[in-house]
Amino acid sequence: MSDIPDLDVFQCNLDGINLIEASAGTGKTWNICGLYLRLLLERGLDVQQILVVTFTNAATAELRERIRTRIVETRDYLASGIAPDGDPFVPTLVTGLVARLNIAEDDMVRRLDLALRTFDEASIFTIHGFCQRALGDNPFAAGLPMAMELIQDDSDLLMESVPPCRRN
Amino acid sequence: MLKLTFANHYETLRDELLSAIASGSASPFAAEQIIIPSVALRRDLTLSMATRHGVCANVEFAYLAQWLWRQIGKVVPGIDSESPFAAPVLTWRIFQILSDPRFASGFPRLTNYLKAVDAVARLDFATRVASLFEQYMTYRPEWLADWSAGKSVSIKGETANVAEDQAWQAALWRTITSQLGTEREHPASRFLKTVEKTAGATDRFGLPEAAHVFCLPAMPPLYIDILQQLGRWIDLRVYVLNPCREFWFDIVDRRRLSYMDVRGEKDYHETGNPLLADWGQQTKAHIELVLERSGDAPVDDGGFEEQTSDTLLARLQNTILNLVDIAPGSRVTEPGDRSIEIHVCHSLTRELEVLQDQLLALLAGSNPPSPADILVVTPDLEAAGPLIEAVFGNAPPGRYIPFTLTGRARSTINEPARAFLQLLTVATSRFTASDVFDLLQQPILARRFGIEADDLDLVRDWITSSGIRWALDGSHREQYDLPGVDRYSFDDGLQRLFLGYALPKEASAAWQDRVPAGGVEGAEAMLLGRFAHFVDELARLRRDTRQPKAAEAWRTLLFDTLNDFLAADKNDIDDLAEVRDAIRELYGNMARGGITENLTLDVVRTALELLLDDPARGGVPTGKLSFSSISSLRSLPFRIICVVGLNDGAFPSAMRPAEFDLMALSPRPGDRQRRTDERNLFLDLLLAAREKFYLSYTGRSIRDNAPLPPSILVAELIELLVPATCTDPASPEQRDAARRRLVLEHPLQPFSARYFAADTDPRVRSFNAELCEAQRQGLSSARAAVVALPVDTGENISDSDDDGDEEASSEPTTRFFSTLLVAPGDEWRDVSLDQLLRFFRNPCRYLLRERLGIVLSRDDDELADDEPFLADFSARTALAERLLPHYRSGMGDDDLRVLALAGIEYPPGTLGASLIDLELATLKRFAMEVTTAEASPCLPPCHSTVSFDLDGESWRLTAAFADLRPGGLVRHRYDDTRATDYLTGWLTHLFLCALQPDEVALESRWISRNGEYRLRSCEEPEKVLQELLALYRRGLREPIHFFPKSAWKYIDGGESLAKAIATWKSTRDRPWGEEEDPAYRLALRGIDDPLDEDFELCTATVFTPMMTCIEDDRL
Repeated sequence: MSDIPDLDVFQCNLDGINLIEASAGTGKTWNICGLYLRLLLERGLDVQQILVVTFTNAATAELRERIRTRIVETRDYLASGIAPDGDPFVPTLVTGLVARLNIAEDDMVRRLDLALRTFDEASIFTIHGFCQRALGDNPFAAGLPMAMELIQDDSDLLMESVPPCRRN
Repeated sequence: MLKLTFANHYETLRDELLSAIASGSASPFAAEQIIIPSVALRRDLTLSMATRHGVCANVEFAYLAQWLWRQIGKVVPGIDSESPFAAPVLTWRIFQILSDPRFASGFPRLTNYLKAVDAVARLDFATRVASLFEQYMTYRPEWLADWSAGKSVSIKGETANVAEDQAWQAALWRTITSQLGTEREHPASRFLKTVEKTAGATDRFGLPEAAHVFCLPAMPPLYIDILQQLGRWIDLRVYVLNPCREFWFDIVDRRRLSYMDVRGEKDYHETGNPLLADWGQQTKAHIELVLERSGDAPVDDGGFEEQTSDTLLARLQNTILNLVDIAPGSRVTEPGDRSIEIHVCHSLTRELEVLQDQLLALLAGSNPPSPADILVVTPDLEAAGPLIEAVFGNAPPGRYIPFTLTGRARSTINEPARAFLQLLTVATSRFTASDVFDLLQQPILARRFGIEADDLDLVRDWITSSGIRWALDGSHREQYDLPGVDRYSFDDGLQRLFLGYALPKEASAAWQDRVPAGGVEGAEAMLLGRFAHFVDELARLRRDTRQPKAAEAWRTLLFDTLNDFLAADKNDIDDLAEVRDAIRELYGNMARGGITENLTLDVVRTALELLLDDPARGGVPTGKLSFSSISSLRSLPFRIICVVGLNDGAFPSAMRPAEFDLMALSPRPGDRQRRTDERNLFLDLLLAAREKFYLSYTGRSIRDNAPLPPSILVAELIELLVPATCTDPASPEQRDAARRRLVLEHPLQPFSARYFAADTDPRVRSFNAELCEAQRQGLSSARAAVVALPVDTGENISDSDDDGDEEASSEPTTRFFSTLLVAPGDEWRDVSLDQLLRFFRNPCRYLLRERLGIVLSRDDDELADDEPFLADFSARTALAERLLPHYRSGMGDDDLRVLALAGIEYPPGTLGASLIDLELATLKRFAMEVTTAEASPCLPPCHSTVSFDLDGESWRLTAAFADLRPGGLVRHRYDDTRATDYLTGWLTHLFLCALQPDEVALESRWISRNGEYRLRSCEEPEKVLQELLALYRRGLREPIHFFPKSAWKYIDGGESLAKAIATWKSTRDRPWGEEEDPAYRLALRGIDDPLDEDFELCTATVFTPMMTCIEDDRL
């Protein structure tokens, strides 16, 4: 396994397909926040253009909140120079961006402001949520009813379709 | 003449309007024309007018679109007074056009869609296209003109799909206009041309002299143009709510500013007031358009008023009025300023409970508002409705605030409508037992068939005992590609019930392959008849509604069905009239939409429901505390405005434009956009609050207390206000303090001590006296460490059972029995054998029931909606109960089989038949064993009492035997031998031995399905009974640790505690451990390990003597 490089979230390439493998508690979410902010700041993407997908509703809510908090922290750091206690994330990110790409701090504040104001449209979903959104946005192309609702438990429907299987 | 009036307060505009009407020079016979945006404003104006003038009369309220159409119709000849392009009518025309596959053939996207969906989805699609076309009519009339002329319009970023969407929409538009035979030209442009031609003419075309356009939050540009032209003849006053006295059209929204900023276009734009720029875009665009398009109309803008008070809310509103920025550190709040507050709770229910307490605090404070001064809005009123009823409706008189929910969907709150829609759903359904029974639970429907609420239990029993599961009959089943088996259908069940009435009880033969059920007797037959009539009527309804029908036929059928199935009492009459109106309106829409296609019931039902739930019906202000959706009471001012349920994603909602919405692809100023719409709505609420703006959201997970984000609007407000309200925004402590002033975190539970303790935040207080009392008692009892809480009703118990999750945690729970009960008195000392048996089968249940009067009822089983798939325990028992007497009376095997197959216990078909054959063999063997064992006749009954002395008290044990034989006792039960069978046999045997009747062997036999056991005469039965009776006496004071199943395993396994524990405990694979019994769970609450020494002692007392005299080759 030694040929797999360690991830450096503040330097790595933002292109292509990457698999990042890590155990629980090693900072996957922390790293996603880093990638997200880099995409916002380096690539100048809007929050609608970055898709983040995870498993459960709870994880999605946490991820949303964490990313949003990061954006606020970074903006506050840029505006006031105060970093959150004991977390090197924001200073490292900002210094890295300034050093490597020479992005003006004003630009960064503006981009982050934009991201915050439109954050309700950020594409951070569960897998189900993303699929539901994809279908809900394109029912006409998908040949589905215009109004759909998600059923949490389909066992009743399954039960209803069992009897035909046990006909005489 | 067109005249504009601006003001920042609704009250000012209203006064202007009322004065204008009072001083109006119009003829007293002409009705005043007032154009309003919602029913809420209509109600408010009506009431205000009545208050001011004593009466509100001769006023015509109208919505802008309809009113304009009527006026155009007066000017331009050949136009109906009602628009054929109104969405409800246009929907049916589009539905009709789309049902012809030839129309869609040239458009693959449309064809594919229409092929993929059913008629109901097609109706939904047509509804959306119709409202889209209505939007085009007002916002893009020139597109429609181009389409009529056969041209296409250019749309930004046009892809092949967009081009095709435009093509089919254009074709659809041409088809619609050619069907209607209207001029190709848009009526509005014809109007405008006519106006040009008649410039200077004095002819008034019968238009009204004056009209007032009041408080519309937005108007399409086209309508403003028409209004401006109408201003030539009509004295037209437009009243506009304008939050800002400065012109603020060039303040750029910060979001757009951010975009422009990134692109370096910011330059000379300044942000002015951030809230206004962010949230006020719709109002901004609206006012801009009105000013731009209304030419040189005079503007009266003297009506701007500052808030005079000095609260945070007032200052915030003034910054908006004066267009000043809210700079950090600029608005330091006074201590005790609670004009803007954000409450963070764990669930919507908690939000409402907190809201109730906070409102009570306001009502108890100085200068209290009246309930009518308070408005509560929430994004999803339908979801919140039942919770609001639960929290506010169940408050005791001392805490009751008169309240009303306004603007809820009619199909949920109009009882006749609900019953009627439910009936129509059932008519096309599988007719499951529970669906049909649910119908009968609607009083308005049951009343028509003479079935009272008291009758329902009996009907339910009949449904169960006659095996009714689903379908009307076999032929109904065949429609689902299933075998046409009658059994388990309504028809079959009713036949059995009739047989039960007609045949004598002891009838032994099956009649036409059915055995009787229900045992209906006497007057119950009347009810059975009514139930049968009800089912017949349902069957008729199903027959009548199966085939698609013309609109006209549906109207007749729906009215007939309404009469045949619903019987309104005097409370329902208005609601029923509403349903009739809806049916009439639905037919009107269909007829005017030119529908000729035959429609299915599904389509008609869906359309009726949509019509009833039309959001335009909206909410109205009342004299009580009003709960409404966020939009329905827009613009109306209240002293206190509360917004609850402001969760992330709930508001602004994530609604997106339809895929084929061409307008959304090339937006223009003045277009309605849901996003800006909802932000503006929130700003309007903030501005309409006169004293307090109260927000709440679910900001903590109810499972793990993790923080949850609020709606982005709340987050923006907090981020703006926190730095603004502290003196030094750079200091984190100051910011935290400012945040705590604004945001209040609430505990998870309403009974938290934080609500009642004297030293906590006084802003977080509860008015709940009962919980306070409970807290006080809890605190004092914690100090004194005394008795358990008095629990005397079943309700408290089920409450504690609900929190199963929490109970599973390792937290110590209070003991239920912490002291001994009072010793049983003399009246307890005559004990029958039957009582003793009941006691030992479940000592805890006996204790709770007999000493405390606690009966832990089990919920009724739900009605089963499917045929049985396997023969379960109850089916086997029921079959055995039915057949055994016949076996023992010597019925032949073939007859028995016929009888067995004629029942409803087993699954239908081959599967059931083969299961029955297996069962019959076992049954036969069992029956023969029992018959052989009971061959000798019974002796005369005997009855006896044995006396015991327990610590000086005299106790008596009584029993009667009617089935003694010379060979002893023979008992049997068709089941495998269970622990309780051993227990029952043993106790009975003990009594037999103690009694020692003449000429009877002191032996017992217990015959089970899987074998038998015998008991020989035992030593010293009185001594054993005395010990058992002592246990009984103790068990009447506290729970003794005797649990028959675990105890039997313990004995059977050679005094193995491990086996007892395996039986007692539940595991994931075996969740039915003996500990699950509700009586044990309650009585043993707080006892860590019931399988202790007492368990071993009790078990030894009960079962060990038995082992010396039992003969059982299975042990």
